Amino acid sequence: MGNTYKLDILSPEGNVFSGEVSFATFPTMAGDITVLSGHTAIITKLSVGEVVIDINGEKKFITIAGGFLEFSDNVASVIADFAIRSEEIDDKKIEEAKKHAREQMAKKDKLSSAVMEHDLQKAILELKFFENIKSKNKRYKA
Amino acid sequence: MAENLQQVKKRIRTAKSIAQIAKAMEMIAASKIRKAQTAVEKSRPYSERVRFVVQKILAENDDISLNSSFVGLNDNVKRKLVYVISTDKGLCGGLLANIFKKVLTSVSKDDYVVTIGKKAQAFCIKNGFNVKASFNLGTVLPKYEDIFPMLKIVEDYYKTKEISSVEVIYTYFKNRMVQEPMLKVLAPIQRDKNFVNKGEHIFEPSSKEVLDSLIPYYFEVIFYDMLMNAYASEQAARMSAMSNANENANEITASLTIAFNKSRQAKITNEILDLANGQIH
Repeated sequence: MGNTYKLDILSPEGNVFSGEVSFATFPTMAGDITVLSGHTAIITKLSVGEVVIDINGEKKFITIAGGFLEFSDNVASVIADFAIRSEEIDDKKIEEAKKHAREQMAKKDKLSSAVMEHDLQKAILELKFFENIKSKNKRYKA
Repeated sequence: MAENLQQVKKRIRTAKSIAQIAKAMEMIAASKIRKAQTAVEKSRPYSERVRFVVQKILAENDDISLNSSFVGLNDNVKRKLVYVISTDKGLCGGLLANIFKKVLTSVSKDDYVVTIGKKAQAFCIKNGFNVKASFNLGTVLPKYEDIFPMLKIVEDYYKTKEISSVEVIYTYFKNRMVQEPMLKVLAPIQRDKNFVNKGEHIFEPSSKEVLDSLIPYYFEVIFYDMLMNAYASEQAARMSAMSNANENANEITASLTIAFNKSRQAKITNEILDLANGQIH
């Protein structure tokens, strides 16, 4: 022991990996880097690829879609990105949201309030009825 | 008389079923709060790390060397982009009214508005705000992926230099009893004054490049946090609204039952009197 360090692989849905490791290899933009215990403090961007974790000779593989590695004081944390950010899907959703807003803005003036008014009047009547009963009861009590 | 009795009976039934529904909704809301809370707890280590790295980069560099459009104000434009996070459904007490009050006091008609939830959409359109996009939430817990398209809009408007800052109006979940409407600045990125910078880091490829690619993640974690707060607040507000509704319905049931019994008693008395007098109506 003594030459291990703590590695956390974090994601918005919870921690994917957390524990002591002998060393681990991360895919960065400029190629893979292997981080051993006592590495100097570093913050680096990760690319799509596999994080290879070595725990006393036992290997573990975790695929990530990108993210960041932060290492300092023998604690490494990976801000991992697992979600595939598809520009196309997002753009489609944005278009939909914008269209929706425009349609609603256009519709604004045409909204008929007749139905609502009817419901409102009915509710007021009911309320009055209850009020009557309540005050009657009070009279009885008095 | 008999007709009246029937009517009162019917109303008692209605009040009772309202009480039941309110009770059920209250319980559903309570379980949804728990879900939101666990989701926040699960994402906390991740969001803390993202915030830490961003603050670290900000602490080691000044605005000019970072040369990012998301750091420091864009003075040429006055227009803001405001996200209004509301709910899709009503029945949540004063929550919506509080949010809308905040919208009226802090958003000008010139600003761009992105609404989240049907209620905000309806309100902002009715009051003539410049709604650029509107997203619906539904009633289930928002997923992390749901916020990607919402935030992509920020980048788009920043690129075209149409906006100077991004603000979010949402409801902060203090606890189950207290929820406060809040306005927070998402961009430009705020420097955390309490941040203590210790130790030097090597940045690869460079601190500017790391920051530039980290910024979307940063917006996401903050926005997700706000969305979860808004969701938990909605459920908490609904919980107390429904518990009140349940109480009121029970009260009405009680007073209606008394009225029902009294008029039934009166009816019986009358009938006995009629019998005793030997009269037939």
